[in-house]
Amino acid sequence: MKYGADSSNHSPILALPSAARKRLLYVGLGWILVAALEAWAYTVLALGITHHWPPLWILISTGMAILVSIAVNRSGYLTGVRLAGDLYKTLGHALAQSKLSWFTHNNRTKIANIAGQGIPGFMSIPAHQLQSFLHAPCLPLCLVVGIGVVAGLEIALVASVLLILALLGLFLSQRALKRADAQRQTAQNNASAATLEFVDHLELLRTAAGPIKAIERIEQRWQAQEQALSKTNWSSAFAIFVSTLASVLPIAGMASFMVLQDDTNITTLLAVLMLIGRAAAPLGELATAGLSINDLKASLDNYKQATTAPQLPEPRQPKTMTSDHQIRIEGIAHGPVLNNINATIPAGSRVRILGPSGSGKSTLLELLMRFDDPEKGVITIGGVKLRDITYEELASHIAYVPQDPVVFTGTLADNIRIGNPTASDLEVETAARHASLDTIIDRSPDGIHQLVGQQGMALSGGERQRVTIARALIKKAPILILDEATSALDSTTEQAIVNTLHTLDATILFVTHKDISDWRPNQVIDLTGYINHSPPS
Amino acid sequence: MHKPALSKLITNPLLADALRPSATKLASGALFSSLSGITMLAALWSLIQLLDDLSSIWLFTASLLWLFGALFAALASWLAHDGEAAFSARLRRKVANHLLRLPESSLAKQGDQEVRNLVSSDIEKLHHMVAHLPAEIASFLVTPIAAICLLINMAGVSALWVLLPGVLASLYYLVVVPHINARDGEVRRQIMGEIITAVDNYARGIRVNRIYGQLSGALADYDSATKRFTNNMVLWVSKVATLAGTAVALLQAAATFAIAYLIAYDTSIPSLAATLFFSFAIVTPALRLGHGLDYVSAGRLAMGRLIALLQLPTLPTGQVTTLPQPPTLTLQNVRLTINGSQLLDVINETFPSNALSAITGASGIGKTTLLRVMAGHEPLSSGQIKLAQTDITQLNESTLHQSILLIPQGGDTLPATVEENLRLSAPQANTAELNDALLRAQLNTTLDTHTDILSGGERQRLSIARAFLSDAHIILLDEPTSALDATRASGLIRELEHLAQKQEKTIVMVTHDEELAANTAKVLKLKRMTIAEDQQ
Repeated sequence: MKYGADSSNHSPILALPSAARKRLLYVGLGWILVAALEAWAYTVLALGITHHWPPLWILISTGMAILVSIAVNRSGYLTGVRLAGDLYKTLGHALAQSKLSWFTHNNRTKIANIAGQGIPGFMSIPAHQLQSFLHAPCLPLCLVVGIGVVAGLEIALVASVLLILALLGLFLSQRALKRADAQRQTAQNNASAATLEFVDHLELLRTAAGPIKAIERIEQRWQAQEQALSKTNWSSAFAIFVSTLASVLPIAGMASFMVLQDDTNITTLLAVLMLIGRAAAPLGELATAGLSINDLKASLDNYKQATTAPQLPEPRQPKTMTSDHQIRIEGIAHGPVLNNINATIPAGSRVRILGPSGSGKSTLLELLMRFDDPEKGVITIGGVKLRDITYEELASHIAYVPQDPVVFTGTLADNIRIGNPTASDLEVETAARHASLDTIIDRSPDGIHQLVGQQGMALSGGERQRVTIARALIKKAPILILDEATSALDSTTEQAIVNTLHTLDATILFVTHKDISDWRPNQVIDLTGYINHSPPS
Repeated sequence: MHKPALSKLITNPLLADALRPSATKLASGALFSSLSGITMLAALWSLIQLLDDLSSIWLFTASLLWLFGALFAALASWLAHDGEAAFSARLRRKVANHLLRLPESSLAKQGDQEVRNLVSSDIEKLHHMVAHLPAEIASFLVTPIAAICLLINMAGVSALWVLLPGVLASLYYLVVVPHINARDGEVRRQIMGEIITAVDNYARGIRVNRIYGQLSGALADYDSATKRFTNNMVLWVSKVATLAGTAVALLQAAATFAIAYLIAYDTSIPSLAATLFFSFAIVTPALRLGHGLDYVSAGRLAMGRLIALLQLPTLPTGQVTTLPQPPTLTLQNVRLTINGSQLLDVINETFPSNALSAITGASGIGKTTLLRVMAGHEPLSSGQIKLAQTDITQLNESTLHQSILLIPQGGDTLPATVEENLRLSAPQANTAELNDALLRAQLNTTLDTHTDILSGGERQRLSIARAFLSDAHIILLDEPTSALDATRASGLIRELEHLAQKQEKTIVMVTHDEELAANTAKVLKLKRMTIAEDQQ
């Protein structure tokens, strides 16, 4: 896999797609060129001061440096946007491949952070970070050469020593920052997870813990974050002290050195102070950049983890599914509960998966949809193994109503149309009415275009369930999987929906805890004793 | 869009409470930031004096001034960040507490991403504005004005030409950028929000999205959001990139130095030195503008959103803390409205205080809303919910929570152990009591089990176990048996009846199962109003 290959490598920059790395390389070279031209312009200015030149050469060299700097800045901005576009695309497609079991609460929080803060932050890499890490160190290097040209080797050597000392001071303060920063990153992830948890479980917390105790859980994690932040504030204040002193150290040191020498010329002193002042200036920028590099690295690491999450392999030589939709389950074992499950389900059957809570009914249904590969055994549809079918093809044959009715923020129609993006409004409304959504459609003048609130909160539990059923109906798939799809419905509504199901030409697999007389299954897979029964006739 | 002024937002009493305790630190931060700028200018002045007479006293003065300048800068940074951190901490708690006290229906109206943003990123957006704006305003005014005075004093008025590149670049940041942001900022924010919502929807609804195909649903939204993002941003950036690049390049010292040399190359050395050094000291604060003023408008918008949320009315509460025991639950002339329309007849009902009762009715008629109203989590348009003859809106919020336990449907659990989940409601209970509650809720699991591995039905029963741990006299359950098989459902009903009789509790459950409801002490059947009126 393209993304998998990067996982063995340690540099987080390699998490970036290769086209993006090439773009960054060009912008990086541009920044080095800008540093060289700028140093050239300052050196010409210094020579002008010592030799009392007229300003023409200075204006020309400065103009060149400015023009190139404009061009590199411009391409830096554009590259940043394209980089973010590449990263978003890669992330979306990596997520599409990731195994479902990977999407835990923590990983979901990480994904939200990457999309909201990580990738937008990467946009500034070409225009800002590359400038900080290439232009900032290159400019002093070039200027030391300039100082040598203006004032001779000895002064250039002193300048080098002063600049290195300044850099050392910066390095030490940066290392202290790094330690504080690591703690801050962890604390921030924790606080962010705590906040998400708080919002996601708001109703649970207010009902179960009450308005006062509900805050306690999130409070502890907030406090941890705030303490870590306070530590970072001290470290960054100290870093500012050190970096301010370090940035004036070269000027102060050079002034002292030259004043204490007997033969110092005033124009040379001014020229050298100007040059070393310019050489020291970007070192301060390096210190500030030190604050962001840890965040940047952490974001890149998170990005790498998200884009290299475990996947289920797609077949090398995919087989196409035939018009035969017979499902065979052969010797399936998975997790702690499923063990040696066998069944043959002819096309068009209505199959009940039976068993007490926790016996693995949902897990079995998920294996049928290849949310994961079973640890042992195979599942075939029409004689083709699931792992020999591309996921897209498999998914196109299955409609699924999950136990937890997932409804997205948006309109009723948006939610139903997920089952068939090309469906007309009329088709959407028909499917909705088949799923007994009449009362909801009729209670608002917007009909199927009414909003359903945050995650469908404006709908009742039963209404959300019917939306997910309508979504499955509109797909018209040959295999329909219903996991407790009617648990929140009253018996009249349920009966109407079951009657609709009976008119479908599809294999239906379902789990229900309710009275099944209306469902009339013609096959039962009983997980109670792990035996496949024929139904009592 | 209406944008209130920053000063109005800051002085809004809802935010001022959180801001006031930090005001001293923030103001001192701004003061020290200005002092640092002035001290550093004084050091430059000493350096120019040195160029005049090469006397080492100036060297010593400059070094001392630099030392203090650095010290003041560090102090300014600490004061501003520490003041801001305290402000954020207070605001974060204020918003979370407010969210907890909003009616469920107000919460439902807020977008998904919005609630998330309000408690996290909106507060972070204020960070930059509150921590940096006072110091930046101070140093943007104080340092350049001081430097201009020194420059005119040492090199004459004509030296002011050196400010040209800095002024041009500042105009870009202060005039052009806000103009562009006013025009395109909202669109860019929207594109950004679309991507975040697309990723979030995709991760939450992964099962649905996966089975409904890569090209449909959230991933299709995501792909189109990504494409729109890249196209729009490239279009936008190519319009402004040249101007932005020019502003950045003009702020480099090279441009200012070239003009300084043009003006002063024929004057004295100290005069040339003053022109070179002070000109750039004037431009330096403008460099900070290069980091963008986006944070100010982002902070202002975030502030507006936070205030709008804090202005949403919370649930009414009162001061009453004691009630006669056991309290009876009465619904008096209750009218229920959902989305502004009244669906049901006026309800008058008293629930027996030592028995299990049921509320039934067709799907969508408002059973869940009624239950929330009875728990005081939703305001009532007219009528009263009375507990021992006291309107529940008169109760202190803790008393209300201690008197009425609502167990919502869906069996939501925290991603933690079974024990941690139970302790939300019963922090003092011992292990035996917790295990007993699980047993009575028909849940066969251990306390250290993580809820990640529980099935939907098991989570529902974990929620129900709270009923057996709570001291509340009123227990309201929403569809407690929806995911249970018949044996477990009847077992649970027996336990609930037993609990009601033994401990004199009023237990009311919403159910669509007519058979279960028929066996309870009292059934309140909700009917559509129009039908009821037609019959009369």
